[in-house]
Amino acid sequence: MKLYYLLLLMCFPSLASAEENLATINVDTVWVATAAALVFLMQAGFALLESGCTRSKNAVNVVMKNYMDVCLGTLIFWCVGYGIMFGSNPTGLFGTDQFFLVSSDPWDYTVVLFQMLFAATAATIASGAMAERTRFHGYLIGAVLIIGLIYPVVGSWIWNAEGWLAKQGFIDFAGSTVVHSTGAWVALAGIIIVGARTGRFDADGKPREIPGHNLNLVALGGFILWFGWFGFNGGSTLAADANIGLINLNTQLAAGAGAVGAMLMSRFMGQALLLTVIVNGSLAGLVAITAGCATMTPPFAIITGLIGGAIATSGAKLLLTLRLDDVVGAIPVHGFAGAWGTIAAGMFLDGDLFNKDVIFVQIVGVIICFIWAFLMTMLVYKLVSNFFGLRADTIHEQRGLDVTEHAEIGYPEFGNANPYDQSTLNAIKQ
Amino acid sequence: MQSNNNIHKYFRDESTIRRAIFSATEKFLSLENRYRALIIFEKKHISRVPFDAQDYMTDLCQSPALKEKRSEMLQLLAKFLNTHIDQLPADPELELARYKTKNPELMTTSNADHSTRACVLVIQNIFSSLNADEQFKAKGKVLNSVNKSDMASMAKSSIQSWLTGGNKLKMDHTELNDRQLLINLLYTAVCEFRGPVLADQMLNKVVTHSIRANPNLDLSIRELL
Repeated sequence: MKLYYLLLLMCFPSLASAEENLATINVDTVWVATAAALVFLMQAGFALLESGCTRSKNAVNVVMKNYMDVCLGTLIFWCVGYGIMFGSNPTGLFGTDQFFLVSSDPWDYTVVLFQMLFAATAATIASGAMAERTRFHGYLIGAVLIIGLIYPVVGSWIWNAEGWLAKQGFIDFAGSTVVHSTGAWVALAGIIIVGARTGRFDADGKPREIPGHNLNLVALGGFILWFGWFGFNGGSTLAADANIGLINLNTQLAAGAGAVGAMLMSRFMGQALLLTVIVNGSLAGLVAITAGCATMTPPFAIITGLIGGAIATSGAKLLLTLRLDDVVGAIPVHGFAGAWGTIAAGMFLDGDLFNKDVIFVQIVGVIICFIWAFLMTMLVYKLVSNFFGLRADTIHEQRGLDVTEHAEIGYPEFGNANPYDQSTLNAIKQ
Repeated sequence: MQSNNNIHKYFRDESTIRRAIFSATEKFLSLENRYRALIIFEKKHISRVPFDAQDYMTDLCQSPALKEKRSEMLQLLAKFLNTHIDQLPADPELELARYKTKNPELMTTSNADHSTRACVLVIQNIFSSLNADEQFKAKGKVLNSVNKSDMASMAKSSIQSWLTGGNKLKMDHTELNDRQLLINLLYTAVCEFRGPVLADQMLNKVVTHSIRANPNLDLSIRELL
């Protein structure tokens, strides 16, 4: 049977080529669909990390926001996001077709699946930063607009082949800017509009620590995110090729270096070595390497991660100086480290190191994306705040958003002096 | 120096006051009348912070025979209120409950009464957790917010008079929402003074302590939070 098959291929070489193409597409599809599942798992990582960083009375609310980010992100991105991001893009500014994708080839479906999980990741970055004082419905309305408009427009500039930044040669392999920085600038606008948690800063502007309720969840969330990142970066090849080895090696190296960078910066700043800082350091390393993981050699990946971790640690301090309350440190990790990583992708481009023109394009891209995402989100959240309400009342902060937004308690057995029964919970919610 | 307004006004918890009254009246009243004296306290004075011993004696000593002993009883009550809690006899709470069960006509406390009592108790306990400077600042913050709120005018004026002068805290005209608002304003003030972590801990302690001291107010206290 095998001999017959070989003879057939020798007689018809074009048939062999078609077979190879089909096999390649099949393997690529399997890899990208698997990578999509890994990216999906990152949502669990975000949920655990963010929930662990908040007080127990808000734990359910944070997880709910993460959960709904995936659900809404999936639907909104399929409806409009994918079209804006990857549709025909004659102006270079946004896509104009492929909305509500119902009929396409299997490969397109695979890409839609992969990309919709990226969109959910971008949206969920803000949930942690704005935790413990943001109303659920207001947050969701904002998330819909971010996933349906703000994020895909940035994507269309950079990842759509006809995008204006793509044409300039902007390098962002897996989304340091497209996904992470965009999510962080959204978060920055969010925390400015929603304000700090009550009592976060004293009358002199000195920050007060509000420790999270479960550091084990933070660490577990960090591990899961790290694991998912192999799909995030490795899957962005959109092909099951040999580059995945280098990409995931760089990813691993940068994550480790990021934690070391955070540790060194903590010591330099005279701070204790906090678990949250170290976990955020490794995540900052991962964010930083995301742009250039396919285009730099391992030593530069280490440098990128190391500096990313250090930037995230010092960036968190900067935010506190500016009286900005970012509960989980999302902005320094995803925004500052993402911006650095995007510039580093230009600086450490393999075979063309420190090319000024490349670096200039990277810097311009980072700045333009910041302006777009930050200003648009300020507008969106301002409108949401005025028309639907974004900031939770102080009485909701006192009771905890688990009770006031969801009539549920995450930890009814422990340390809660108010063990409400269901009727009381419903009465409070009303 | 203490002003005249503050003489015979005491920030004490419900149990301590009950024990002091029960001790102070021993020499003058029969056991049944001592229980009735405690019921007068529970019905009219328990929700007033601080406890005004002089006012209480006026309510208690209505008969001509008792009016003559009023001054002596007041002095004795003041003495017991200033006595360390460990030196007072046990809280007659259980005996009083039995007496009330046998004489239900003496007890006509409504849910609203429970709620106002609970509110006063929680506020009293929050205030006792603050230092003098924080108490002063907290009152200022609450007053500012109450002035701006859409609370009914009678409720507003009774809270304002408590905040601005030495008057007793009366919550008789307040709605549940007003009482919840008041607790929240104090919580917010504590958040600003000490930070949210300590504010949460303080509120939990206050609630636990209040419920432990007054198990019958359990639901009313929870309802306020």
